[in-house]
Amino acid sequence: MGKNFLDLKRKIFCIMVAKTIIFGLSVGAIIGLTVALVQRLTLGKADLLLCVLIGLGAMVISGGALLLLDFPSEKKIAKKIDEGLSLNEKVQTLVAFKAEDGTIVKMQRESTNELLNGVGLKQLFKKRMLLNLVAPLLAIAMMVLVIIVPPKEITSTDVPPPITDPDFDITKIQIQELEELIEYVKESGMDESARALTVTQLEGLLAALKSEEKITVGQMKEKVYGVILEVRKILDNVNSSDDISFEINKSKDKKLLRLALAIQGLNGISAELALDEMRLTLPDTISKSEISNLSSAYSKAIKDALAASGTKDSDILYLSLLQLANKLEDIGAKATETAMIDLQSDLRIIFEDARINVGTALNIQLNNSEIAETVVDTLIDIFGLSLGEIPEYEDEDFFVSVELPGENPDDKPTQGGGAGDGEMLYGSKDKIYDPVTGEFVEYGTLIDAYLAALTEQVQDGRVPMELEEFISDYFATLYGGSK
Amino acid sequence: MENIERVKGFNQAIERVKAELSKDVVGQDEIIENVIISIIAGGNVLLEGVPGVGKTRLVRSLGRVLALPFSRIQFTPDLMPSDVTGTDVIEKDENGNLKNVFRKGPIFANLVLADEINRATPKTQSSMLEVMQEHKVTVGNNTYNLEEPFFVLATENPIEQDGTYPLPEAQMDRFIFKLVVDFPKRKELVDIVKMTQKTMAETAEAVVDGKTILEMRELASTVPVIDEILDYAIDLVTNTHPELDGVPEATKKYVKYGASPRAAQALITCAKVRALMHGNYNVSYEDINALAVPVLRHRIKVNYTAINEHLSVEDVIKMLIKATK
Repeated sequence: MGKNFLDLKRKIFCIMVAKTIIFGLSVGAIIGLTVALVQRLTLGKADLLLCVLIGLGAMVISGGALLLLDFPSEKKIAKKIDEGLSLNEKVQTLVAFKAEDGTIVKMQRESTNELLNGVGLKQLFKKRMLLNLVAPLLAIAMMVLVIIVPPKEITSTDVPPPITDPDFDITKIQIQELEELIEYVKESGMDESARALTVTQLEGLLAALKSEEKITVGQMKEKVYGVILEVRKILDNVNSSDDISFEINKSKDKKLLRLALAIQGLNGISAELALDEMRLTLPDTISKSEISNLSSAYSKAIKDALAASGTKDSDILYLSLLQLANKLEDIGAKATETAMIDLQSDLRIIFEDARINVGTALNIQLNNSEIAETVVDTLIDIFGLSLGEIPEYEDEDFFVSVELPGENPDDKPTQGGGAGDGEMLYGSKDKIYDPVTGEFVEYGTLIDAYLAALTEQVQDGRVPMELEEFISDYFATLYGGSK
Repeated sequence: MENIERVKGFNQAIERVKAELSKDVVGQDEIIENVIISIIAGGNVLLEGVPGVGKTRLVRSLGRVLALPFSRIQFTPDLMPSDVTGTDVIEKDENGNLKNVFRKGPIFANLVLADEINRATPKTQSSMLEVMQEHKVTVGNNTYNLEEPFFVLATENPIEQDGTYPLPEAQMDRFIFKLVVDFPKRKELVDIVKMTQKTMAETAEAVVDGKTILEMRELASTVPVIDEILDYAIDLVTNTHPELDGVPEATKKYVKYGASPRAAQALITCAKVRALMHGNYNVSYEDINALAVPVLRHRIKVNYTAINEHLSVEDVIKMLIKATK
């Protein structure tokens, strides 16, 4: 390509890269110094680290961008030389045809190289010299400004006031909504004692907020949070489901675990199903003594749980479970002396009663819980609280962990045909007494019928639609999740 | 070395031609240069000008300077195609038998002056089409090749349009250049009058021959053109088409229809010759811009908006040059 061109190319490349660096430095300095100047004029002093970081960032971005957009490739350099020296595309032609051998191309190359002999860089850059100086000059000007412009004097009035807690004035709408909430609770089916306590809390809150004593927003929130905590505490005291389910959960029996789960979830339907399970899963080879032992074991487990739960003996759930336990104890005592058919009949009645009683008790407690949560949600809405701000009320015994069959890989599933394609895990081969036929049949053969009956009840509206998913999940666990 | 000598000889030949022509033609330097460019590029030229500006004299002088067989065809309305191309005639041979003999027409020369071509009928004009493009003549079932180099230099009178037949676009496109021969400047007119007072004879002598011209043509074709300039020439031509997207506003406003692809070919070919003529070994933007008007002026048609605003086709071409990057 010619020595002269290559020399010039190298020099121009270095200059263009240097220009990019200078440009980047200048832009970085301008931006950083501008930030510094603004800070000095508004806040009285500049944050040096911030200014340096911003300046560095601007330098890298601007320099990098310029380099990318205007990278000094051979072609660009050739164009620059042509334009700078008005060479009518001679150098560009030299570069484009550097690999060609024709006579005229060679002559073109030689003549162009001769023209480039002794070309000074000044000639190439003089046109844009001033433009190239703009950025550095601006940077210097900025620096001078930062030095000579005095910073703002900070007086006490300049210091931004601390963030204070604004005053709170309850609005008419908030008063009205709070009064409506109180009425709602009064007319609700909540447990009487819980209802009275909740109303007292709400009325106290209303009175406090309406009083002429000035309070702030923060103080208002404290009061409301306090009421929310109290309502949850009231609920915890009136609902025994958590305490009872926690104790039942300590049993190793899987059927009792299911019952515990149902009680914890305040799910009357699930509780009924769990109780049915307890009644129906009796193998056909069971003897009276085995019935006796099983009934006694259930009775003991339930009684122990009730005793450990610390629940009041007037609690309706407590009473319904105690009744079940007592009756099972009686069965256990007299099993060996009673005819099998009578035993089966008694057991059916006992569990039938238990279904009703436990279901009712759970429904009452569910109602309490729903009303309490409505109170909490309404208070949040009325006062525009954030869920994240509300302190948690948790009874540390609250959580019941129920390991259902199939969740533990050590569980050996019960193999059995049963109805359906899935592998049934849960006592499907166990024989139970079918009151319709009067015979002992495999539990698994009745599962589908059971599911179908429940599904029909959901569709008829006799069972709430919200339980449909729960029912499906329940039966799915019986099939190991495969149906 | 021989090749370098050829390159150096190129400009010397050009200078010799110009010097000889200046003996007979006063001024018109740009016209002479463009005519020489077109001859070396292998194209035909249309010279337009009022009577008496030296169009015919220029072409005749050129014929002498180039030492090429020259013929002149004066186009008139009654001129027939066979008057141009030649025709078969029946002759008696030495035995008295009748035979068909093809009598070549005046077109069978290397340099043909088609004087006042717009006076001929379209039929006669069309007989020039094949000749100008393919350098062949077809008469009957026979095709006769014309000897290279072959050029047609046509003249037309822009006034006196009555009784004339404007050349069709297809034929106009065959001319590489359309050159407008202007009325000479005062000083030139003085020189013309002085010169012709002494003698009306044309004294230019032959300085190059057809073989030299062909060599010069081959040499010029090797002048390198960078892609950017090629793109520029193509952009210039495409920007003359108002129906295309992205063309300048001037095109959409003033141009009725644009130039054919031959314009792009002509620009590059002639730019190479011009570059070499000016002592450059590469084509530059300046070469393209200098040739844009003679290449495009007869290939673009301006619309009534341009006419209303008193804009000539040259004005529009200059706008397009400015608008094209």
